[in-house]
Amino acid sequence: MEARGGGEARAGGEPILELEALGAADAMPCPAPLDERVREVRSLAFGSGEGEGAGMGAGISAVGCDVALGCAPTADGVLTAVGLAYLARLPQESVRVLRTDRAQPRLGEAYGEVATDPELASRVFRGFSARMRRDCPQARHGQCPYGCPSQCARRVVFIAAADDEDMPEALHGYLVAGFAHGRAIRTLNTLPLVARAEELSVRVANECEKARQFVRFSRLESGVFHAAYEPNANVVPLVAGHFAKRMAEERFAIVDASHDVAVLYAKGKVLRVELPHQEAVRLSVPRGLSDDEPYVRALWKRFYDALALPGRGPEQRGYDLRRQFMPKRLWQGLIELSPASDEGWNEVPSAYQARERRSALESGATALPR
Amino acid sequence: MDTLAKLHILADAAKYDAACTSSGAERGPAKGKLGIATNAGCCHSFTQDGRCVTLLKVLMSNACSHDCAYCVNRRGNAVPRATFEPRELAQLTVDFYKRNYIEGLFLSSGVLGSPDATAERMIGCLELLRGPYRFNGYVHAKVIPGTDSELVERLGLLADRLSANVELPSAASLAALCPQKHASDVIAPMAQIHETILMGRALGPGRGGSGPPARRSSAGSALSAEPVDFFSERGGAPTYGTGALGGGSYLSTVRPSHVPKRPQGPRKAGFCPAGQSTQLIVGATPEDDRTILDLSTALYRRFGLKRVFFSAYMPVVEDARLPHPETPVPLRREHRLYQADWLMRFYGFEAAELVSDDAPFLDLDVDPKLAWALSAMERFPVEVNAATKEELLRVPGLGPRGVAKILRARRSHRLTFDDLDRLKIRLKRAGSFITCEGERDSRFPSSPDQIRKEVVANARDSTYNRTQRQLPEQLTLF
Repeated sequence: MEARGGGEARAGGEPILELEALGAADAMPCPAPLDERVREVRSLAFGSGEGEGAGMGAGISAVGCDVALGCAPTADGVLTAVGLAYLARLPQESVRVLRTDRAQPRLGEAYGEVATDPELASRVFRGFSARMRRDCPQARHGQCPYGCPSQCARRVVFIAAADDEDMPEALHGYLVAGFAHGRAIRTLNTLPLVARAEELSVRVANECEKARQFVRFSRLESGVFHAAYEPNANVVPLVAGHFAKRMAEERFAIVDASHDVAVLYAKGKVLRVELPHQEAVRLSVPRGLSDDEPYVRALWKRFYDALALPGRGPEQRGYDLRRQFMPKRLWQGLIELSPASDEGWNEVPSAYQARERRSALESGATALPR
Repeated sequence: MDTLAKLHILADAAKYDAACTSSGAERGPAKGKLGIATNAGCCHSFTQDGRCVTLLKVLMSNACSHDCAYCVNRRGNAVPRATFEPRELAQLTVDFYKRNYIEGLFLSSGVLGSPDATAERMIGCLELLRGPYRFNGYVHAKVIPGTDSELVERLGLLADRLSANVELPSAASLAALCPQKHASDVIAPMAQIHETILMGRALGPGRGGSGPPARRSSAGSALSAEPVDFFSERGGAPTYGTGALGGGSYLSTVRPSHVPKRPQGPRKAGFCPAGQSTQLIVGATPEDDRTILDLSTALYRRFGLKRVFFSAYMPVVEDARLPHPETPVPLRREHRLYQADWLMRFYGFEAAELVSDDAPFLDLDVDPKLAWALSAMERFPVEVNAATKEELLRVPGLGPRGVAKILRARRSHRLTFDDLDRLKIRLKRAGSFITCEGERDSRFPSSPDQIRKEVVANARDSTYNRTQRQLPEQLTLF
């Protein structure tokens, strides 16, 4: 897997999309040494006057103030903040984690921002998973005794994908409760922060399902399947694996211009690319549609239109079932709802011309006409 | 005729089978192939009236030689006719699948000449799809009543699920409305499919070597393994108890203690891995809900059906034997039947608890669980901190998800109404039927009479009921 700035994004050695620039994540400066960052976080609570010796080992005997840590609204961002607060021996109940772009520290709360450190984040996540597994024999076999669809640790990733303002604090609460109680966190679902975290993860899981339902691919001349999709949580990377299984032999790209991220797939490899916003917007418009695309869209629209049944609509029911299941915010990407899909094609592609299809198959050609 | 015009005719002709058929097979990717199948299916779109679009549901042909009274494709009805070429349909399926429009193909057909000739044509299409087009996604095929058993077997090896429609809830109605169909023609393929599935499970892998290759890949097998059905009836008397209907039994939220757990492990049948289902039309003939629910219970038990689908009758052709063409579509009745079906498959209810000789129809204003609770007030309120899972599942307003959350939370502490709020359990309905630590929620009435009055008033005030009252008076025949 590779992604190079200003070149092609490749997955599995195959070019999928032409990129002009890569996202800020790749250009992030190397963070300062861990010790230094831990000391900075601790000094937020206790002031820089606290001596070296009193720092790491002195516990929390000294009276410190509450701390708000700003971080990037990603799993890595929050895990970094939680890791630093832990290493700085701050009592977790006096720490709040906020997203930097919407941080509003309270009165009397010291505020500092932490840079995302993937290595520390991964350490925290591994620790959390191990804590969850420790007294849960089923977790080792991928089964949860409480029948939850995602395991306790995997839930972290789902919570972190939520766009909500309070996501970092909910995830923080979930991690702290998880470290304290292990797998019993499943039974603590009435603690406010844990309840909120579960709510977010269920919402993200639902949004993932929406993505699996409503992403629509278009075939490009290059054979790549392209989709633009704007969910209300950062779920495109979470569902990439589903599409990779579904279309294992194809190449595809899904671009999310609302979270500035794209996933690319070819030959069994999935690549996630963070993009600058302009670039994400540019890439979300498919360029160079294949010749058969307009006709296949027209077929799909015609099929969809033919399905409507009289006597069962909103007028008879009193409520609009379609809008309940298929929210309006996603309609603009749906081929079957766009009147433009009916037109746009000029000729029937060869695959749908009876004679050519027959001769191709009868001559024993292994490659079927598209 | 080009594909666009054919698709229009053949999708239009297939839509009156209103059931949303999702999936029921779990299959990972296979090398060199397109597609997977997931147990829950995936609804890719929703029609204007809110039915989900999961599969490319079309007829192979609507040039039908039968003359069933209720059917838009009946021989005597003047509608444009079309027939898909097998290759055309296979190409269409693959093109739609790759664009994430559908999960697979739902192939049905009018009777093109004879049932056998129709089945041959359907098999031709599926063989292309599974062969040269290398399609590994989900396929549902309809069995035309009267199809030769050998052809049913071939169809079952290519498709994930087969279904033979019982169409109407009684043999008498079938004889009256579908002169060419006999009840025995419908039952015969159902019995054959059921037996072949059981045999496939008993014999293990390799059954029917000509089946679609690589039904299951090693990827994700731990998760995708479907439990093997060992407690299905095998010729003898039904062994099922409450809540163990064939269809959803292994998914069942409540499993009676005498029903053994299904053994875990990869399932080995190549024939019809997603089982069989059926569909029947509600409201075209005078059968009551009791007959329909008894029939579906019998089908689940006798043939191990996965699902029984109900289609509200929609007048499309005029016929003296049918309800008046302006009869409103019995949407709510269809909905109530599905609710009852769910209660029987997942909540441990039996048909006799929901309908009786005195009240053979389900209440259209009040949902069946609430109606049952109102008739069994002596069983309420239940104590949230002490009730069993079965008892909680019977509380109106609590579903499997809510019950699961309560059971989890109950392990570490005793619950209060505030806790239930935090678990996002909606008390609007459940509030009258539960206590926390022996206390009732003061916002809800406590006397059975008062509960009945308020809850029924709430239900009657639903958007659907209000809309129905506002619609102009319409004719009903039955």
